[in-house]
Amino acid sequence: MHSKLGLALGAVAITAVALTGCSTGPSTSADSPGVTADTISIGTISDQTGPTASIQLPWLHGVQSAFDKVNKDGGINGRKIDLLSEDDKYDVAIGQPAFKKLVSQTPTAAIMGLNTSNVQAAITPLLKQSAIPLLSGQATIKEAVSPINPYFFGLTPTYADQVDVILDYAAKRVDKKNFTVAVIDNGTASGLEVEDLVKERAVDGIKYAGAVVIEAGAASVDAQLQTIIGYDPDVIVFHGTSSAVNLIARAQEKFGTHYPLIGIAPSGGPSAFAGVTPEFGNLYEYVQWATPFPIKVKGTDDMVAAAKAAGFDKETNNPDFVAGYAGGLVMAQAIKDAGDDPTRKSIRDALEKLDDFSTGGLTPNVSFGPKDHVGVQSLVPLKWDYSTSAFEAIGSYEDYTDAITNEYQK
Amino acid sequence: MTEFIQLVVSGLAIGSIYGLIALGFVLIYKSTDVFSFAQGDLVMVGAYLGFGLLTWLGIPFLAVIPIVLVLAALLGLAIQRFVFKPMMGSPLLIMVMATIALSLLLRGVVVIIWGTGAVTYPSTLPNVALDIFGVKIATVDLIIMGVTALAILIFGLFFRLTRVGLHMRAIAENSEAAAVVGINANRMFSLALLIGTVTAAVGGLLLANLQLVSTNISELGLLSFPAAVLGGMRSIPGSVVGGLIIGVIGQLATGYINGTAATAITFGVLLVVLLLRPQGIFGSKGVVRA
Repeated sequence: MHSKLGLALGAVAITAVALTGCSTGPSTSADSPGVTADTISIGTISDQTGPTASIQLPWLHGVQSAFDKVNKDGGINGRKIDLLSEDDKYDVAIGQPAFKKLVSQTPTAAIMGLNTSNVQAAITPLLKQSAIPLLSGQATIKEAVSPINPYFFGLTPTYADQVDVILDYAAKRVDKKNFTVAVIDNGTASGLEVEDLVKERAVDGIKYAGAVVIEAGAASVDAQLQTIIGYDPDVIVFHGTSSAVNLIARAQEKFGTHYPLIGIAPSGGPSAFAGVTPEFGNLYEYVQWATPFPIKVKGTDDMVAAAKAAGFDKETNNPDFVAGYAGGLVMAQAIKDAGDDPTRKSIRDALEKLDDFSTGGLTPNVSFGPKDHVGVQSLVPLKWDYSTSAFEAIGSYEDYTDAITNEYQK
Repeated sequence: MTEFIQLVVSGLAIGSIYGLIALGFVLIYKSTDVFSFAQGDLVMVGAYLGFGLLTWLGIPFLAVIPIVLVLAALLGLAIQRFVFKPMMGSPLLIMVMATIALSLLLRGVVVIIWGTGAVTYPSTLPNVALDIFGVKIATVDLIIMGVTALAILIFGLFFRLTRVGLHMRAIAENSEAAAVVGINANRMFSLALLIGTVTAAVGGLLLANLQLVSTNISELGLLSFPAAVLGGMRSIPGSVVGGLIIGVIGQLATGYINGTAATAITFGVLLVVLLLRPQGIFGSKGVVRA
């Protein structure tokens, strides 16, 4: 009797252990949060509903499209990517809890985004203590890469590199070696950074006139344009949102001014040009590192197909979408390189070893290294063609490579 | 001097919109004693209703205006029936929370239908830049100021000269006493919500002529709150004047200092006025008799 009971209990115990071993529930290993037998969770933090959603949401859609494509192609080493996206609403107070959620509450193996520079500034110092790698999406502020943060990987070129290209192109655009430049920015950390960068570079014939701030959500920029008229610059360096660009164009239309603006990435997007005549809309051009449709490169067809499958086919002409898509490809490659059982550390190491990774020409090739965590270091100016509702590149990436000084990587 | 006048004119244009929206705030507050945090989102709804009609039905902008006003009126009545009326008699905090919930609901519905990306009106009010003695003003700015002036005139006459207007004033002064003499408070509240929603929708339509339309328009609507407080929370002309003052101060501060200082200066002025005159510029001190 007792031996039969003992056998039965033993059988139950063995069965329970066997079932636990076969379980596909969350990994119990503390070394691989966000990784299970069949999924790997990747988080994003970006503005989805705040004042810069018109720029950041297409980026997120690009990431989604890339991950959907990867999953449709079978995933990575048997695992599908599970995207957990958090909305920071352009607010540090919301971004920080979102980060903590992705670190521990609904843990992810890595995070992408921090596209709002104030949020990036607040969270980047937390990456090391959380030991979670982050691949930035649309902003790389100075503090994140200089000195190097071992867990921060800036996919997008630094503001220093962007300003280098902007001023190089500005000289060609205004056809003057000596010219006066003013800055319009949104008053955030990265906006002030751009102001400082332009001021530093106001040497050898470039004169800095001053800066005005257009805060996110402004209803009118008449007063700011009045100040710009007082500066009377040859060209304006712009940092802000497509809504602000649109307001400036409308104000220029009203006041009959024609100041050319050259913006940082990602200040543009098709909505910047909506509702404005080409005469004033085309005063705005901006530098980018992502190649939008219909500019054809090797990876364009795959990107367009992935966008269509994900329901975002109307966004492929938006460089912000392409930047997100390329970012998704980079993260997928890092996961693959991290091995059969990826962890946060192995993904971090894989990102750092990424060398000359091709996104099919959608961006310049991506390279990181132990001493350089800025993945893309080339840009090209884009202009909007109203007749085709598409962007055109002004030259090629190689035309502007010599202008870049890599200030933050020195 | 031209620059100063230019900034004042620009301020009057944007301030007119704040004033129009503040008028709706004040109307609802006067009638219900509830400060509606949904007013900014009603501005956004007005803008998106216009966008929807323009793009889905291809109706010209001038024809869209009356349709949006009718839809806004119906929305106001619905809000009164399903949000304010059931809450009547509840503690003030509960009523305010209800307006916050309404605000989030309206925003959520707009996002579901139109997403969070910015859109633009395919057709708008005529927008030609005029040069009047060196001061630039767009025809759309003149239209905005004209609409606001008309609104003050219409509502001023309405409250002074019409029976319904008199009843609304009575309800606002003392709803219990007004009910005793046979004034239907519920009907007056409905009318207040209707007018408040319609003025918000007008504000949204006008803002959509100045900029891209996005859910962020609701935050511009909230700038009319200091306008209402500055002018006097129970004063209709005060709300509009408050809006004009907020608009002008904002433009002057931005023009002569910078955009970041404008917010601080605007609210600094509000604070000073309230310290000196807590009832607002046009408000009157309440007298409580024991």
